[in-house]
Amino acid sequence: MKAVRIDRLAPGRPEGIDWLPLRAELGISAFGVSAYRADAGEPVVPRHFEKSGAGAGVHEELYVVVRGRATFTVEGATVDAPQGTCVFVPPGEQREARAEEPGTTVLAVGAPPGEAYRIAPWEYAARAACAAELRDVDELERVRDEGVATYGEHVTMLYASALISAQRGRHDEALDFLSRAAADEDFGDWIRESAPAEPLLEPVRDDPRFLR
Amino acid sequence: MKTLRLDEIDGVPVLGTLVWKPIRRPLGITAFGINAYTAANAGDEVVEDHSEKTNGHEEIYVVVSGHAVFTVDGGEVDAPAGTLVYLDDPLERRSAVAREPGTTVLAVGGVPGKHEPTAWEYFFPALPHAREGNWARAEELVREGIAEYGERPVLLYELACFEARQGKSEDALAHLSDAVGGDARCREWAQTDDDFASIRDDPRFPR
Repeated sequence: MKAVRIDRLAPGRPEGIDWLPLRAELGISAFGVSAYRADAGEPVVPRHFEKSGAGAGVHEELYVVVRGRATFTVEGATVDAPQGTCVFVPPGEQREARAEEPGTTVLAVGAPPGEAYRIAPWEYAARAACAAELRDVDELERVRDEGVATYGEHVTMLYASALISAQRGRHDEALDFLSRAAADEDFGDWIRESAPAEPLLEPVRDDPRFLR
Repeated sequence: MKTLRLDEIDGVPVLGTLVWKPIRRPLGITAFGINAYTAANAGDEVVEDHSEKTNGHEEIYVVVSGHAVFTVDGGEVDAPAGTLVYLDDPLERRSAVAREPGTTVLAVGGVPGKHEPTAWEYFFPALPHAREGNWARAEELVREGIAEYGERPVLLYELACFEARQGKSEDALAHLSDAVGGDARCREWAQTDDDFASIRDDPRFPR
């Protein structure tokens, strides 16, 4: 048994939103569970589909507002969601939510219908982004290794590999990983936008092959 | 998309002081189990004493409002709102009592590597009616559960209980026989179940 209090967990901010990685923190393997926290006017659930091919796990998702108040927008329809509201969204619908009160906290529970749960690629990417922000290359490498063991060379892990290789002095390898990640159909644009400002890529940024 | 508000879900009094607020079934969630429990008073149960030996579920409990105290394998966990209690071992015995009126606990569960709903969700709605002696309504609700979830032994067992209470001896014996055939535990439960007083002397009653 493990017990944690949401307000005592240190969040990461992989998508500019405070993310509390409860599944990873507790070691849950049967379903996914995270919490997001934001102040009034800020996004508290990032806009996304649960579609195949990107980083999502093609999950059914249930959002529960456990503190504050949020406004959800699902496929263009808005839902006022005070504390205690449950919003269930099947995989194909685009969803996002905005906090309406300070400290609004939304719990997100998800799993794929009809098949065994496995950790979605985005979770590895989010943990990798948190490690990168902290310049913790050892943790980044651990997360990358876990992600590769589950999904192979998923684009998010290629990008993490580029960061690790750049920091480890393996510059040719870093540029190769980066080039392959930037060619990805779903994430390529994001990588081309993010990489020039990524501090961990500093050792290879002036190389003429950078993002070529 | 579907939405529910916890304070607007009709509570179903089920076991002891436990009040169940169904979430998974009304929303049609199939990928994991999720329900809520509320306590009207401090001291009421908000998680019944149980293990997950039968279902094999990992469970996480989230105290959404109020304040609860969990007991897990004899150890206590103080759990104000915002606390998550995770039990990875299905064999751990768990229960919780509210320390404040209106305490609400969300329970999320699933089996690592797979998930399917559990049968109890389909007979819990019948229990308040059975407690009031409204056996016909209880039977009706279990039949609805069977129509939705299939002829699971536990549901057939409950159906037999409510039929026996109404003097529908032939139906009760047939459904009890089917239940015992599908799950040997039903034979054991039937030996001491008061619901079967009217058919226990029948030679076809499973011994």
